[in-house]
Amino acid sequence: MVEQEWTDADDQALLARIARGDRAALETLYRVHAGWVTARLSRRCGEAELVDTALQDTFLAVWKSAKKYKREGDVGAWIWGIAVRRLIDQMRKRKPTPMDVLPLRTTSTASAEQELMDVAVGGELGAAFADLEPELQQVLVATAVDGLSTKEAADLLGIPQGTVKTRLMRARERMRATLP
Amino acid sequence: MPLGGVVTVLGPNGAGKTTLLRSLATVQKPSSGAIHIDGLDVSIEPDRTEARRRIGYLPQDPEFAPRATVFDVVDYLAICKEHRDRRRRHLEVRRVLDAVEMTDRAGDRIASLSGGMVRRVALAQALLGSPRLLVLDEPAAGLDPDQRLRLRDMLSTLGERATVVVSTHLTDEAAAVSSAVLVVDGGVLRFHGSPAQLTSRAQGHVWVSAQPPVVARRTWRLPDGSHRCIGDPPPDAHLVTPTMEDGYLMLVSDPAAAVAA
Amino acid sequence: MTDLPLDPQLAQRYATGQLSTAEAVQVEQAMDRSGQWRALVGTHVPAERLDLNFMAIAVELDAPKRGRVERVMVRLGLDEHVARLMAATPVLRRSWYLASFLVLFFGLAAAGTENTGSIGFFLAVAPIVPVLGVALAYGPAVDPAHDMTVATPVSGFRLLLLRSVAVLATSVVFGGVAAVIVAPDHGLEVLAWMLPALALTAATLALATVVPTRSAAGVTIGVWLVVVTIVGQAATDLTLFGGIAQPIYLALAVIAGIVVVMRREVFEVAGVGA
Repeated sequence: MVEQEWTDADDQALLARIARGDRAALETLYRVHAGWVTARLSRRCGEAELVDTALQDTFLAVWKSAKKYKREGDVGAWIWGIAVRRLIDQMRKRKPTPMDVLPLRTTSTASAEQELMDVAVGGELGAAFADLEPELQQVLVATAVDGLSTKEAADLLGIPQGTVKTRLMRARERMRATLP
Repeated sequence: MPLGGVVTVLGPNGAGKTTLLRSLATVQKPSSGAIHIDGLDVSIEPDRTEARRRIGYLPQDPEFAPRATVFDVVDYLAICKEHRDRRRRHLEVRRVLDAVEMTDRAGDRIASLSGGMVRRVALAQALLGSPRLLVLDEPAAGLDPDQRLRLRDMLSTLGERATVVVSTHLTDEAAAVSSAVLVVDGGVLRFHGSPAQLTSRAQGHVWVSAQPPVVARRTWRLPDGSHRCIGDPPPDAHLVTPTMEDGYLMLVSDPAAAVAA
Repeated sequence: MTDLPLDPQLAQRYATGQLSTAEAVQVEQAMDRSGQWRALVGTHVPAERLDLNFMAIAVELDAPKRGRVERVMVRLGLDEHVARLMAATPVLRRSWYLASFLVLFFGLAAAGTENTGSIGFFLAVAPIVPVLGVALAYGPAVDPAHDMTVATPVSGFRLLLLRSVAVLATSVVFGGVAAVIVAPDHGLEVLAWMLPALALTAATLALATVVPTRSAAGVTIGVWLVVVTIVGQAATDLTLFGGIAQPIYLALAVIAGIVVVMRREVFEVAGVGA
């Protein structure tokens, strides 16, 4: 199934070619990443139509901004960061809310939540995360795994920003309580 | 009219083929009678708009703004056909341009195209949204034999899922793909039936003789010097198997022929 | 920390949405770290879906850029498809903008150099601009693909209205700009042509339900010029644009508007406005 490992260096090389306007390189990059990005977006939005549009927007954005890509972090993570925000755009369009400028947080900066998350699901606290209520899990995934701001998470989940914040606090307390 | 299949409208030039097709396409009001498409009365709203959602129309002499590009004019008509989502619409435009083999010219201005290519663009816009009723006025005009063959193939394929009404004055063309034939002459419907039925109209009326006939309605000289004629038999003639063209000529050459339906 | 071992079954369950959030997070973290995990998950998304999405991307990259007018309209909040319907007319092109702006600008410039009385010339000419615009905005005479458009579900009446609004709006904007540039000290009377413009435009549309749009525009302009000349000689230049006259234009516009709406049916088949 998986023949040989595709490395980030290959992705970087593709991005460099895309930045020079190479359509074939875009297609290759798409073939490498579109599958998992689609699967991962689908876990955050049940409407295939919105997922498809977000996926298309993602690679159109990759085409336009390949030049701006800084060699920090993984290309895959960069693509995912674009994808989840394009999905949020789609969710917003469906339910119109006042548009404001999104602060683009890079997914590579490890936040407190992310560290907590790594410990939680990787280590012995997996059970603690699994015990959380689904809505608390959701906000943790949106903020810690996807690296979204509370505003973005609110749009993705279709709940008010304040609710995201309170749920996040509750999730943090519950997880901390189980820490040794 | 039955759903599905290719219906060919035959008739002499100026016989009212275009008027009939324009009325069918809801572009013009019929001088008499009413047009119903899928049970919708096209003379009243909101039935007419609903009917128009199901129609694709290729006019006889299609024209577009000369400075616009191929993609633009088809995209514009796609908007008129209520394809609102920009990206899906562009996919659909691409699909119909592919179908008429004009994808490579998508970015070219209309003014740079030959007449045949403009007709193909117009055919492409008729295919937008895969309408249930396609009204194509002389789609074979200006095509070379090879392109005509591909058109024939396309019409047959389309006829599997839609009713395709095609006007032509090429009887061979009609015989090749039609499931039904209409003959109009002088603004009147003269025949409505299958190609075989039209052919059978000439059964027993087509002759070949060595002498030039005097009484025949239509006659022409064959390469071997004999004469082929339609109508009453000349002396020393023998009957031959008629073609659909014979049936058609038989019909339009007979002013007394009754309206058949 | 230990990496999640490659597990085709887990990947399949992830991609088909069968994992709990806790399990899914493990897979996602594995994907963040491993290209092999991404590839594994990716194999469970149907190839046809990915192909179709890539085609959409390719078509989008090939699609022509929107025109400037359309971009302005979209920025003003119009839907993209409505903007295209409005903009797809020979009127909303640079040559039209230029012509209408020049007429308004020089009309006003000619007036601005003398006393207030001569602004009457500008006020008489300005309403003609949108009428000409409407005449050139819609119909078989200006759209060679008119027959094909008529056979679509889009309403010809709606198209005509959309474009008339666009034409009126640009005329008003240009007239306003010209007024600010040329005659900032003239005061409100430089705007006195706007209601007449509305009335003449509406009258043209009403007439266009009977005769071709171009003839309708010709008749309206002709009648207007005659009225302007006669009244201008009998009274002062500005009588036609005074406080008594303005409500009459409004009433005219309303009446003509009602006529248009009642007779809108004629715009839905070919042959009108030829």
